[in-house]
Amino acid sequence: MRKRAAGFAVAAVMMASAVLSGCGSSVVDQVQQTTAATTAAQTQAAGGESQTEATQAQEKDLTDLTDMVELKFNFAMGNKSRTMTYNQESPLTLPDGTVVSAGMLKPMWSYVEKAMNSKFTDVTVQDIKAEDMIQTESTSNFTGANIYGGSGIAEKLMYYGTEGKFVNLSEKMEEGYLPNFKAYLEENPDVKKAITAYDGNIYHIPYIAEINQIARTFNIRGSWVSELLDNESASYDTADFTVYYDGFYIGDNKRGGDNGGTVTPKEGIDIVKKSDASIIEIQNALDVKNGETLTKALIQYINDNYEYDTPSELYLGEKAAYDIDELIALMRCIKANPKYLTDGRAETVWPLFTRQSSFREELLRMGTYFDGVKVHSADTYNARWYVDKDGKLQYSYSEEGMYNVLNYLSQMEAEGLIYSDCYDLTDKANHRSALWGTDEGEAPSFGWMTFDFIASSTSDSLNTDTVVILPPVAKVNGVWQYYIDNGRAIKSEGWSISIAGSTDEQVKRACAVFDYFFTEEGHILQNYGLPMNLEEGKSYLGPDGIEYPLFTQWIHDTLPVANGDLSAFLRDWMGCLMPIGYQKEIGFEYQYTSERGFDGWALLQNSTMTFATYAGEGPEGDNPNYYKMIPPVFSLTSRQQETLSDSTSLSNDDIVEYMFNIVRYKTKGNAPSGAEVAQSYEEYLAKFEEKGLKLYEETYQNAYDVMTNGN
Amino acid sequence: MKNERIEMRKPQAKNICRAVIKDWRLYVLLLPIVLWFAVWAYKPMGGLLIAFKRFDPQYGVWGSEFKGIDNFINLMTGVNKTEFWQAFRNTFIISAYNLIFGFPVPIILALLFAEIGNDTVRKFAQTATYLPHFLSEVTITGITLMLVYSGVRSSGIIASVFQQMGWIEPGVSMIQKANYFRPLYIMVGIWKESGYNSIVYFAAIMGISPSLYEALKVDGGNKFQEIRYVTFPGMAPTLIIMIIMRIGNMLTIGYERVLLLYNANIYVTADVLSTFEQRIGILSGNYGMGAAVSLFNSLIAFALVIGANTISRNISETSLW
Amino acid sequence: MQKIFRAQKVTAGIYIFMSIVVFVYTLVFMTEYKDLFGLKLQQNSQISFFHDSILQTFNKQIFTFAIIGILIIVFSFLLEIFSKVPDLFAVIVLVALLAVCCGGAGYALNNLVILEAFYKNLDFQYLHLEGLPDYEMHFTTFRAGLGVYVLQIAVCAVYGITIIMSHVTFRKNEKKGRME
Repeated sequence: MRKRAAGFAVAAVMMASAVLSGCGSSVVDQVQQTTAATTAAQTQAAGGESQTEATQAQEKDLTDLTDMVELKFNFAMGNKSRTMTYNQESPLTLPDGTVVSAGMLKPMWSYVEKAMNSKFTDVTVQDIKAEDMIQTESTSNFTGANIYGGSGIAEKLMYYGTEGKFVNLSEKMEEGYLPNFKAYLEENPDVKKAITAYDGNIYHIPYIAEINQIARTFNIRGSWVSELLDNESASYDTADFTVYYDGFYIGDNKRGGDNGGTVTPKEGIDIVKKSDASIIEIQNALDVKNGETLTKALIQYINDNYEYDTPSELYLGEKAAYDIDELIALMRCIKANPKYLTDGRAETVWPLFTRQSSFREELLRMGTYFDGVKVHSADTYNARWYVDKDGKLQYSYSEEGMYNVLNYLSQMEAEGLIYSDCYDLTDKANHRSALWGTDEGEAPSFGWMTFDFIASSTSDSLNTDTVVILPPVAKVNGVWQYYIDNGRAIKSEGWSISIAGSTDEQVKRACAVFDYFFTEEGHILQNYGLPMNLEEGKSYLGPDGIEYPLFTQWIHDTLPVANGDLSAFLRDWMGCLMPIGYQKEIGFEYQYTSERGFDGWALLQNSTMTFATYAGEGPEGDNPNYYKMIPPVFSLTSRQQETLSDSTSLSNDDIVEYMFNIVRYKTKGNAPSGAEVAQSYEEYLAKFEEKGLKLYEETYQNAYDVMTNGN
Repeated sequence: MKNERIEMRKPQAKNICRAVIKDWRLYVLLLPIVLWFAVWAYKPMGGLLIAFKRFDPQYGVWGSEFKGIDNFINLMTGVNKTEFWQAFRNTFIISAYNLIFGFPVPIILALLFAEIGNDTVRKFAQTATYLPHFLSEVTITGITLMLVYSGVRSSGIIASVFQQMGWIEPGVSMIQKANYFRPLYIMVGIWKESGYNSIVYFAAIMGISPSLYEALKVDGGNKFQEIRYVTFPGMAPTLIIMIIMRIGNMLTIGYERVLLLYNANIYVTADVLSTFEQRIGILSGNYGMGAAVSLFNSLIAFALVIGANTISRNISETSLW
Repeated sequence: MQKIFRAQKVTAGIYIFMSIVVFVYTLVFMTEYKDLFGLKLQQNSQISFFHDSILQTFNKQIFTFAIIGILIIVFSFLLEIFSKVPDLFAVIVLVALLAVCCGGAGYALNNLVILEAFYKNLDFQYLHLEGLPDYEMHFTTFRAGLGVYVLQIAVCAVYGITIIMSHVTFRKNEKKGRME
């Protein structure tokens, strides 16, 4: 009886469940109802709003600043000195007597606040990194401020824009807002393409560095070259030197005749190499290799092959025509003559170094001079793409050319030509200051060449012997030319306007603020500072022949607060040069460049040298897309982002460590345990494939296609 | 089948209320820590959902899309699988090293302290050994890195000595060599923590009745027999609890020290689950996968603690629960 | 009474197993159909809607029910089901939760059928344009779900009824003054 009762009860429960489960709406119905309701509400609101907006737009001038509007800014730089708020220890007294103290807006922002008839409030957590800020703010739907921005977050700004969090600036431009920015984009279609998200809209204004200007160049201690090569009574060092580098222009690739025998560093100047001799082979064949024999061999080689007044002209000045082998040969001479070059003050010198270990990927740019291997065109190490002749994106780090370059660098490293401390990322020291700035110190260190910005490298306070030289001549894109694959880029910084955090009035005012920096007044303000910091009626003539605003003496007199660093002063004290959405101008940089730096600018600008640009113009060669810079930031869909994060790991830095293991250990075979060193290109490529190279390339190709074709 | 005695569950509500009212002062004292656990340990458990989600901070935990166990599958079989299993292996190995080499040192220290007759000397020795515990990991690892640094312009003391012995080449920092990481990590840990950890064992030793030592002396026992027959058995409950806790924490290598000491070149021996989780989850922004590593870590640790406790309960009378 | 008490423990054990199966099934279901997302381009709106709105809502619902199922396991231990006959409080709590669990399983059953029908009508042909491999529809998980949830209902029902019977029988025997 009991069992039967239990059985009936079970069956009853099951039937009840089955019946009840049919009651109520299914999940499909629920979702469809919710979606319909949401869409109706949005349509009504939008319809109402657009009607009101259209009416208001007709009634009101779009640039009307009559009403005072409050705007909150959340612009994170990871460093409290670099935000909109003045955070210096000592107050700053401006020329008109205004005192700016900690907690106040920096002077430039106070000026813009008045010009825009607005009240600006900086709500940034002052030391927070931009990445952390944007992740945190996304959880509150960006309601904490009206304007968001920071360093390295352009991709996130685009992404959240497509998610409906930031104002669609394309629409605003269509409505008549941001007229100056719109005009700027029409003049610079490459910028427009680079910042358009995958859905065809623009959601942020980026920080645009001095595009169509070269970024870094080769800077050296000039006197060392003359002392080594031109001094007939030089007493060279005689310590033994071991060679490992076999040479690039050897065998079938010898340089001479049709293969780079004649090069043109400047219009009207042709330099002819008389034979196809290889200096590396000559030096390698010496029975005794030391500072003296290597240098004398190089001098003899130059005299035999070139018609220069002095051998150093092969490297210095407007007639320079050295190739990568000749550069390495010179580096050997430098390495082998430490006592001679430093007057006995050093046992070792370092021919090639980078400013910091975090800049070690600059070494890879030497790849350009080994037959034009592409590395990074833009001045950022994340720019690892180039477009091949078929219009396809290629990942430069995985190419066979790159592997070969790593091998060459390894041979150079084995010879001691590269500063060993450059590889260690835990070493945060400034190597340029150590190797160029300690000559008169008690424990000096000496370096010779770096690839860096002209203004800071030729600064008088660093070293008065540094000069700019032309890059090595090389067969780039199938054409013998002078080329630097390093142009100034559209940066991954910028700012956007929050939708949820802003009223209509605030959106319009924010648009006005954004647009202001593309007017003449705003442009000068952001690049140079307040009108009281500039000489009225006077200008500064740059080496490019263009007139730029001229700083007043007050700027120069006040510089010591920032240790003489004009860029830091303008950014951290005055509030200019912050990476908001604006076009940076090079005129500011010229004004803190030394005479030697100007000579360097003039040398490069008067030469036939070309460099990477977004337009991608250059001598016609094998690949019509060779000179084209790829934007550093792509607009990725959720799917693409997830594909990259789940199925690839090429964004991690350990791949770069893997590459530098080849440089550090391959030639000498002294890799420590645990360090993987690829012995062949197949092994090297296998590592990239293991990290999802194919999928990585496909995903970015899709994003690039959308960027360039809009589909 | 044997007939077991069947009882009905007694309602607990009244008993609980009575107990709380009777000892309300104790419960008031307990309240802050219960609240702390509730807010910081239990409430965040909802975040475990992230391991099953395509987490996007803008949608929050519940609003983000579910993707099931895809994060776990990607972790163990996808592009990160080599690094994951390497981190997993390293975590166990470093914990095992800690257990073998690091665990006995505080015990030995406590035994030695117990033998120091002079109070002043003992107190000084104890203070000196547990002071490093109060230095931050950043300071300790900073000092360590300076000692083992080997660069072009200078070298640390230990690096210089090793270079003189021919064990490392000039210019190659010890911290760049994978086979040096684990010994370095363990030795830094011993230096930093063994003094502080010896306090618990010292307290346990002090809790042993002196009459037992006297009885052993009367029986003619020597110092080693004293340690073997009196001290260790007296410390046994403490030792066992500490071992169970240590085993339960086998998968929890404190990531600060590893993070500060390691670099990409020595991931093969240095990368542990917590640093792997930090790289994948936070630096790469793949929160789902990071949470998956964390959940996996926790589940294994949970199983280890249960196992260790069960074994301990069966073998000895001591267990955590 | 001994038999009923043993049955109580056995059904509790079976329930624990079934709850874990349901939880695992929930995760498997989510994993199986996770690849339909993020195709946020205009021509994919139908699939985006199915994945982003319908599937995600359903995922949340079945996950909630699975968690409730796991909660019942916790309560089973807390209310000493494995060692004692449940008192009235335990019976009420557990039966209520089991009813919710049953209802949830029934709801999931119903929706699985509807979702399968919706899924069948989706058009994946556009994927060629994306350069993605052909997507193959798979229905096994939907069908497995039907079996899992039917079993879940049955196990919940049996468990609930067993503990009710255990409690009622114990009370009757108490009144009669004997325990068999």
